[in-house]
Amino acid sequence: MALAETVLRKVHKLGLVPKLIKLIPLISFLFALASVSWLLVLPMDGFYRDTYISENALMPAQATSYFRESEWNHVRGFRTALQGIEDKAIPERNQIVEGWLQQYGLKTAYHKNNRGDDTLYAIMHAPRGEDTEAIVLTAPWSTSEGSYNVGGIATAVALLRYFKKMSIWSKNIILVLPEDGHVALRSWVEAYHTSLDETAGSIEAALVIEYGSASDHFDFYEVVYEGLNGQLPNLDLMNTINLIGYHENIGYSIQGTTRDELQKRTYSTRLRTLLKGILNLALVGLKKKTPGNEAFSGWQIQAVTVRAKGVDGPSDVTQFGRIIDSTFRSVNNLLEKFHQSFFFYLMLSPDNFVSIGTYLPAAVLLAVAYVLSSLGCLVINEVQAKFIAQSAYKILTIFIFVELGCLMLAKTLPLFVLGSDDDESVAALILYGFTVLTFASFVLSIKNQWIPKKYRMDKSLTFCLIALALFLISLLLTALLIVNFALAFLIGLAALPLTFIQPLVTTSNLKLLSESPKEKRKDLLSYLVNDGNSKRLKIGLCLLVSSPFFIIYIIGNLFVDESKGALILMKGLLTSWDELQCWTWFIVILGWFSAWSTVALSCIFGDFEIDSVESKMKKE
Amino acid sequence: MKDVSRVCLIGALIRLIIPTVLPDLPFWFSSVVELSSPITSFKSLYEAFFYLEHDINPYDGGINHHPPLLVMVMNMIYEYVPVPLRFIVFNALYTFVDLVIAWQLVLINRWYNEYKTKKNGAPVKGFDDSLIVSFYLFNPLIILTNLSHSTSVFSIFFFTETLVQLLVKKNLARSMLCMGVTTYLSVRYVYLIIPVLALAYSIQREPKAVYFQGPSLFVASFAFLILASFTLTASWEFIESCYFVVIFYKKIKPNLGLWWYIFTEMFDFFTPFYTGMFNIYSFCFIIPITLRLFEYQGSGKKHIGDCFLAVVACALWLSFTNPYSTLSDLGFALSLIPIFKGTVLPHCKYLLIIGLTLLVCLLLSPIFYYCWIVLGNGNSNFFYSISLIWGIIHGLILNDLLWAFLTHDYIKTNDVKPESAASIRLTQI
Repeated sequence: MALAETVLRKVHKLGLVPKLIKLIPLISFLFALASVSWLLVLPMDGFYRDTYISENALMPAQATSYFRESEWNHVRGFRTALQGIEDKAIPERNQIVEGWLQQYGLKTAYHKNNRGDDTLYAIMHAPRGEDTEAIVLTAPWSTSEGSYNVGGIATAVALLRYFKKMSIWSKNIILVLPEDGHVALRSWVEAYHTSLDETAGSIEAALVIEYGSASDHFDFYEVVYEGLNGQLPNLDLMNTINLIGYHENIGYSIQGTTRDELQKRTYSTRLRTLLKGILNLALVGLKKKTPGNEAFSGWQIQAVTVRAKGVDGPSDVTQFGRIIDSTFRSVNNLLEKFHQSFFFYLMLSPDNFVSIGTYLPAAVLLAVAYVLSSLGCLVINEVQAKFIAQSAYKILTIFIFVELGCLMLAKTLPLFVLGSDDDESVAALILYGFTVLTFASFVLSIKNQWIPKKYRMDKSLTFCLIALALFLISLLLTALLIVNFALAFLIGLAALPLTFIQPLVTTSNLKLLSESPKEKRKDLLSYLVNDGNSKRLKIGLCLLVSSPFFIIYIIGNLFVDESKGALILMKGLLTSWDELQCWTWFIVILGWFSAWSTVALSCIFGDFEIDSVESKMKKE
Repeated sequence: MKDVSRVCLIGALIRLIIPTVLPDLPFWFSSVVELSSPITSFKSLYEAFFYLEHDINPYDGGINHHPPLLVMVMNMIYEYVPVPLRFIVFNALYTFVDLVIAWQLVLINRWYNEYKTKKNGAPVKGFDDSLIVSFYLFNPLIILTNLSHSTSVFSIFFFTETLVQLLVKKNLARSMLCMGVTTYLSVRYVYLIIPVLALAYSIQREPKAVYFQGPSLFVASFAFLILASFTLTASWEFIESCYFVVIFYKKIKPNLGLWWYIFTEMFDFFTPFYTGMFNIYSFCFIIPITLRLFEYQGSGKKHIGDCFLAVVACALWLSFTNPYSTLSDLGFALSLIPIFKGTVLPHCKYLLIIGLTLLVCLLLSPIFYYCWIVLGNGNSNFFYSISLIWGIIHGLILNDLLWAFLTHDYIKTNDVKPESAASIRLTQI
């Protein structure tokens, strides 16, 4: 206490407070910079941790798997039969597979999802145990790449046949054969917990398998683990699969690591995995090609997708089966739900991770940066508390109108897409609409002399609104930073230019004050260089690059699809709530877009001219 | 006056229209841990109505923890009002109670400023009536509490009535009767009798009346209500359900308070010891706070102390140590703080920090609870961290208020000029 008091007195004596207030924009930017550098530091040696099995009961790769040569024949047999029925409709294929499963003594049932093809599932009741817990094996008819999952389904059926012969199971095993890993699977999972008649207890873990070729061999396997709304499977499950693959001597890949770099562990590979992981976690559910594991999110189920990569290579299909078998054996050992290891982590490589305590400061720093710059907007421009109290009504009205407008958009736009036959072009139309809106705000914020004087807001009100919007973003980040770190970080980073607006205004106004009025030249360059105009242009640019829809274009075209990425993302945003209960759309439109709109409105209607506060600042 | 009625109108409309349009909302809010505890939940009150309807003892099954008289009175609405109107009548009742509380706060505020002006010899100017009403009616914590139809609203009502009777109406007897009712409704308010008596003494200066008649009346009214409840229910079961559940912390359920985590983690044979400790802890700071803020004539005939602040500080302390902590306790204490605008409040330094911390706490608490209970990827430590922040907020407010009080007292006793009063910085030696 005494030390704090001494420090406070010192601060007071030296007059640091006013000095610090002037530096708020810089401090805020430094916080944002620190946030990014924090992430960049994580892949360095000594900052991350090696993965380990935390739950000893799992005992991965301890049991010998007998899914070997003789089972290979069964896989081949099923595969040949499945290849023969590739052209048939899914209900017919289901019927044939159902015949096989029934022949092996499994109970089969259908989930009618009212979206076309029904989902076949089969339950193998545990010979031991209490019949209250289950493990799910899912093999979608088509893989996330769109190919016929012939290898996956053949392996799955052969595995069930093989499981049925063993008496060691203490958890029920469910095989699900949805049409794909998207809506069909999600609706099955939902129905399992709400309306299905044939169930087999609470699902502890789920594996989605993809083996999209008819080849006997594959190169390495990839695990996809991102769940919806920032959820991740327990790290123990990931480690189990990794360790099993290690004992089988198969290459293990996450975040799209290629064959050549499977064994590579350098700073750059770790950083790439980290950044890709953040991006993928933020975009879960928005792409049409979903791997399927995210369908299990929200029901306390640990789910991953295991995908065989390559059509020839050192590994054979029974090894793929053995990974599944061994993982099931491990999960079968569990006496409690997965709880030991981490639920919040970022992977740096299959064997390295950072846990929440280590990476969280990155998001916290970012949230603090927004709070600071929000405060800076008010303090630097000397907005009085009295003024805020007086115009609270005005501020709140504008803000509530923006928020209500966004709420309306958030609710109605998905309906247009879902209700139309040609959802692609409706989504495109909506995207273009928002793009036009973004550019209109950009142009209007530069050319705000077009707005009649009587609609202008005064400067204090403008900065109050900007401060409110920035504060809203910081609250959004705070709310998200645990639940969905990736999304919080991405939004925080993308919207960062919004915090530059206030310092831009102040510095260029101060600069204008110090310059003697020069003769105006007519050519374009000097027009742009002229501080009054360049200030406006910079503000407009800040607004443009922090718009959610600008970012959709950037992310979509760079990381999703070269030509149609933005459209895919937009459609994903609009439909993902109804199809998968992914709330990214609401966060983007109610949090980010509403804050952006508030800033845009204040840039268009606001006043950024030189005022007495800045003249006073100049004199000082 | 016009402003006050306008504010009241908007506040009333919020409380009346929202639950009327969404009749499920109070029940849904009654299940939210931040808003209602087993002790104050409207859902369990409703359960009691159901029991009564079917001639079952309302204290069977351990769901209902509301005192019998409250159940009976509320049951009249349930029994005699036809179904479609029933909810509207409940909404109207809760709205009405909140409006009355807001008005009581206005009366208390007027008294406080008048009283302090007289004692200090210099005019003390507080907030306008309309602002005091807004601070209560638009306090989000209070709005949420009201929308959840938490029965703590009634305890708050009777407690403010205690203060109004004491301070505005100058009627100690009626005030003590109200205090008895408050304690009957929510037993932890019993601790507040100490600062309230100190307050009574500071305005009446009649030791016999205050220290003898006051407590006797209080005990008598409380005992009367208990006996009346006994005659109504013909058993002592309600004592166990309404009071022992609170004192011995028998319903361990996660909430914003600091108790639940420790008691879930603990071996059973330690429980009696720690229940005792926690109860002593709830109580033991009441007396020092009251003593420190006790009003007396200092040297140079200066009036020192602020017993009303003692009441507020003790209310905050009780909110801090409440085993079944909800937003309503802090919300009520926060609505009382603006009354000190003319004296202590200008010296508070951490209001912004407290506000931000509270905001973050309120934002994260439902999220962490969701992570723990629904998603399963968080655990109880997540939610308990919010309980800790909740505690820190109380500590900060208390600290800030008391320090501000010391500053205020220093300025008064040392005749610091108003110009330098703003920049004065005290240090603890």
